[in-house]
Amino acid sequence: MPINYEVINPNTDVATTKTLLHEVIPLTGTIVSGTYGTFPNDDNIKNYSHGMFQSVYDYPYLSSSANHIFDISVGFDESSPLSGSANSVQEKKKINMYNQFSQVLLGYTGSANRVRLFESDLTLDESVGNIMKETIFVNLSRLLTKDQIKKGSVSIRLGTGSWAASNNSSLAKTFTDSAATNNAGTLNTAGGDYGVLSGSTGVGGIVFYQAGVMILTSSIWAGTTDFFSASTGIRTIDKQLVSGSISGSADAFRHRLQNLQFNNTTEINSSVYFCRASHNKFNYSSNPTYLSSSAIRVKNQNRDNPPVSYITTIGLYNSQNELLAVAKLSEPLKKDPTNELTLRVRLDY
Amino acid sequence: MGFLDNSGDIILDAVLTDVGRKRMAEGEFKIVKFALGDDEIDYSLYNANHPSGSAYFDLEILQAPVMEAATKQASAIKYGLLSITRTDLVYMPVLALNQKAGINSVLKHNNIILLAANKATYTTLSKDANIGTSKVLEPNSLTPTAKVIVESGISSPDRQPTRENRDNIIIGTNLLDLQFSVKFDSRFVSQLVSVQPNQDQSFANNTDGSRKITLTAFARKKAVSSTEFMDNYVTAIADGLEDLVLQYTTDTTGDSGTNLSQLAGPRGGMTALSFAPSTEINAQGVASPSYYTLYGSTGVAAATLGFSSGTYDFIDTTIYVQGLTTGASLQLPVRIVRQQA
Repeated sequence: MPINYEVINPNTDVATTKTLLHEVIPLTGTIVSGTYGTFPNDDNIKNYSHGMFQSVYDYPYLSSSANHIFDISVGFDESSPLSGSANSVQEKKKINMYNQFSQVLLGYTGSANRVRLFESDLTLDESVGNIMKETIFVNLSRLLTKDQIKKGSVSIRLGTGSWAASNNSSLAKTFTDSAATNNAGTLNTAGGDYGVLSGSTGVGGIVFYQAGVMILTSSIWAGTTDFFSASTGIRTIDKQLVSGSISGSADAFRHRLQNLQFNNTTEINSSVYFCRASHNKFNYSSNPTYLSSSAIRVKNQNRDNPPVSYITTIGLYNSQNELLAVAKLSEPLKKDPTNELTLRVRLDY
Repeated sequence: MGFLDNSGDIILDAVLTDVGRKRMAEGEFKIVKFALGDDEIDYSLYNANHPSGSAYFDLEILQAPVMEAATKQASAIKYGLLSITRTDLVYMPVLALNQKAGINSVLKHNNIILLAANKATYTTLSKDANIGTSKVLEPNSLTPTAKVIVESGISSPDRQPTRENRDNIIIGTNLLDLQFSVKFDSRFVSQLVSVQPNQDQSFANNTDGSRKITLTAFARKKAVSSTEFMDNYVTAIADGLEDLVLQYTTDTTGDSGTNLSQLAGPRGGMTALSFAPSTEINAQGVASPSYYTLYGSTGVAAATLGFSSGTYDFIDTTIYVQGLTTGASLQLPVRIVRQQA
């Protein structure tokens, strides 16, 4: 246990900084369909008895090594033409899903205090041409997005050809949020900032950066006659949103997801402690090898030789002498009365 | 705990300790001071006679690999660097366990200090022909016959243990240890008993070299948690006395006080200690408390332990003593012995 400490002055010896760290997160389409097991019953896809969403893992989800990467769900607003359709499946749940995302991400409005509707622009003025009433929700896990998605980094490529040609890249549509930056191209809402996912064929949806949620409009597949295909028949997206289950629609979406990429953001708050060892401090050691029969080895029996120590460790303590953090130098640092050292210890939170 | 990459620039590898994370969870994470350590350094590698010159004296030390930072408090800084303003010191005090016969210093038995777990065991061992009262500590006694006597001072005979040298090397340099930190495993030892610095207590010799030692006033010391050191360990502060065993020109014994002191050079301070075994291990009787099975041995024949007769349980532990002025430290191997009877 050390017996000599030096005070760290909070005014002069401590600095705080904030750093944004970004990682590229590429998700290829194969991981969501076909890599583990046979589509649609992939081992890394988890469906729930409530049937309200589907979870995608990066490995068969029964394995403890699996990480949850995102969830898929679908829904529509109760004012959608799809609402009230005959032979509808899970209609109530689909409306509930839309309302839930809407109330969390946009909130309520109007004298009736109803939820806002998602729009494909940055105005939220409910202009008819921009309202997205039938949507697919992609909830990215916090493991991937960390503190938030980096604005301007999102890209998603979706197959819009026939069911059989869903992987055909020439029939795919790519949407990006290239107009979004830290200073422009986003709208601040109750759920945080969102930007528009647009491509050469128009707007594909919006992305909420802090929430890590992508809202995709069903109109992406407006011209696709067999958005869904199975032994039960083929369906357009509108037909699937009415007659298909949420998990079945999620399966169809996975079938058409060719690529998804974004940069996440980790906000690192750092405290930098400047540990100043002045010339007359820390020149001796209580290390048992420092002495040989009480004689200081590095002095070699000569009182004119300066005392020398070699620093390998820095301990940071609270007022009760509890060691709160420890830092190690990669190699010993020589300390003697002819030098002064400032050791910069950065703690990230 | 791997080694740090030392092939490039000097880098710092910093982590929060277990206590640091706990304090952060409690909202009480506040760093107010720092200390420096050199636990990986072996100063015996310093070669002041290197044929290639002074630039090579510490070459091997500077090449020492440094381990990664560990999150356990206890494995961080064991010793620590010292801030002493004077630069002309050649000697520094060490701690030494007094093993001089005839002054009621407990003597090691087979290189270990024996502590009786209870009065019955002490009574038996103190009458044992191989042990006697000089080789076993009486448990929880404020009037112990044998004591652990730890001295702080210069062990080298290069400086004679005169009063003048003591004043110059120990007192004048502020390297006098009169308080000692004693760390012990609270599972096995419940209390520290240490000498009290009353006026009638002394550890000295007379000018003719005869002993002037009175160590009769002892008190129990309160211990506080010492998890920053090791799990289950607690710390108690032992008071000390001035170690005034001196070399006198009028000494008729001719041994410069080395008949009383373990140190060959100037002596500084000393303390005398004893211990109280914990209630978990101090029961008398045939049945062995579970701690002996868990952490020690049971039913051991006397001959195995170097005793004359009987069957015993024992637990080995280590007690750590550190001078609070000099930082000098000493490890005491202790065997807590319990008679199965």
